[in-house]
Amino acid sequence: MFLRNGFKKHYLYEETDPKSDAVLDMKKRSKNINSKKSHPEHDQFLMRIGQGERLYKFYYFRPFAGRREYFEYRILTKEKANGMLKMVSYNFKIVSDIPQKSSITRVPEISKKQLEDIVQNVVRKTNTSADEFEELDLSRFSTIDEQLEFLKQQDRVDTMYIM
Amino acid sequence: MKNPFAYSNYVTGESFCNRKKELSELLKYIKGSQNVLLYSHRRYGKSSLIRQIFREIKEKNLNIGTMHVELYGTISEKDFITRTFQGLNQLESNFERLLKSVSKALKNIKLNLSIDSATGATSVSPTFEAVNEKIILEELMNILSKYSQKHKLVIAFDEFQEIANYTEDGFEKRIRSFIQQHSNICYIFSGSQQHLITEMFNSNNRAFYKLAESFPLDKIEAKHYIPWAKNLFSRKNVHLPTELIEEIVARFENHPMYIQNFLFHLWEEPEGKGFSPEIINKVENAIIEKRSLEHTVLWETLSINQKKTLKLILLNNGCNLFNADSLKSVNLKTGSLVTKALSSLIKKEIIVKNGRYMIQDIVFKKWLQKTLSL
Repeated sequence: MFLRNGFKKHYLYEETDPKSDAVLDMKKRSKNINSKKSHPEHDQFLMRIGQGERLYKFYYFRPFAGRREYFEYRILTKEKANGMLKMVSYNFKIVSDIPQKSSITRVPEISKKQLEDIVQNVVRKTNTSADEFEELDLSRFSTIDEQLEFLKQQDRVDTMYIM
Repeated sequence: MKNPFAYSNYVTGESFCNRKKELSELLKYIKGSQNVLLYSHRRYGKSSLIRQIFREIKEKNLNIGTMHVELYGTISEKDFITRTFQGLNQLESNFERLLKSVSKALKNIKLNLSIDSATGATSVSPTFEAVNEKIILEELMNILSKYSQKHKLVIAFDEFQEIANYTEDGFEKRIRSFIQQHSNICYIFSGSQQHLITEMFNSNNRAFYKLAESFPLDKIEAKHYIPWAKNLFSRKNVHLPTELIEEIVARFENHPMYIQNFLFHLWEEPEGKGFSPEIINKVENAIIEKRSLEHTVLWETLSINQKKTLKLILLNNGCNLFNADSLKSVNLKTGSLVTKALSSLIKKEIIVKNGRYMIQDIVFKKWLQKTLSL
């Protein structure tokens, strides 16, 4: 979606390939993150990764019923330097070949236990079957660079946006 | 036949419902280069109103340049400058001319060229290396000033309250000093966080004090929805009874976005079935069901007291939340717990206070009523 001059290293932009499985709408910053709440609907960077932070787990809900267009509900998390998580969740759908995000919910601080409870409750309450749900565990990688490499290998991030 | 209703993007043209009074009033301000503070709760159609008035300006050949700058998600002066620069291509459709005129006006800044591969739209943005942001802002505002010398301009800054959170010292004062000099530009400052944006313009210790005329945007009256919806449905030879439209409008509390959403799905219903109350319930349930994942996640991320407070709001229609019986009905021990929860829920933009406490998202409200069996 974006072709830019003056790219900086480790900047990840929105995935634009509708056929790809996942998206990594994140921007890695070398400076401290600004704690201000940005407005969700139009923020192309869903989560900013600061120094000492790395990705944690991603969850994908792909309900079969009642959808004409491609749809996923995504929960992305990062682990902060203090060991707590930040969570962002949103609808991802493709309408007329254009990927769209909406209804973005951010939880600035949450424990790993709380996250597991939330995900389990959502799976249970929405009767999500195993076929409709995917968990991607990135916590086994110790650095953000290894995580990005893994995501690249899995075709989970469009490499044209990484320099 | 293309579905004429829309709810996830800007709504203009035939999809845009009425707002004739607002459009006419807004046009007067634009013609007179008077600044406007346009505010309402979320999804009342501020951005669509802006796009619609811009469309009408073009259709009527009023020779007024239009520019819509989305400030959602901006966190710094640098972001503000970048977004505004990117908006310049709206003033000049010929990219070469744009580049030429912008480059000519810039003394100290190098430009980046961006192309949106999805839309093919081109835009320019400054490189921030080695040049102070204050200088870039000044040169940017000079470009706007120069454009406005040729013809009138209207520049809409959407979600303008974002700038209140920029950390750079004196940004509001600096931007005001430029805006004040632009006598041939109407600035529309639009925002949905009502308390934030009105404070920016109504507090005498703020830089934007009295800089714009207040323009609150309300919901659309049922009488305006009726002919509009009837007319659009008549295109596929479907008669939409008045009572049915009134029922839909009432169910979605006159809220433009949710009514568009409902009618979009109603349009997709097979023809010939007629529109019985069952169809209405079916469409409504489908809308609620479609968003059940996000609402379940949202619900799960709330604290127990926030959940109880939401229930309290629903049970009491947003009023009398602190009386003993109300508190007891949801098993909340003290009013201070409610106060704290209300404050968090407002911050999360789940509820708003407008005389009484209301759940902003009507579909979330309906999901809650269903889930909590209220």
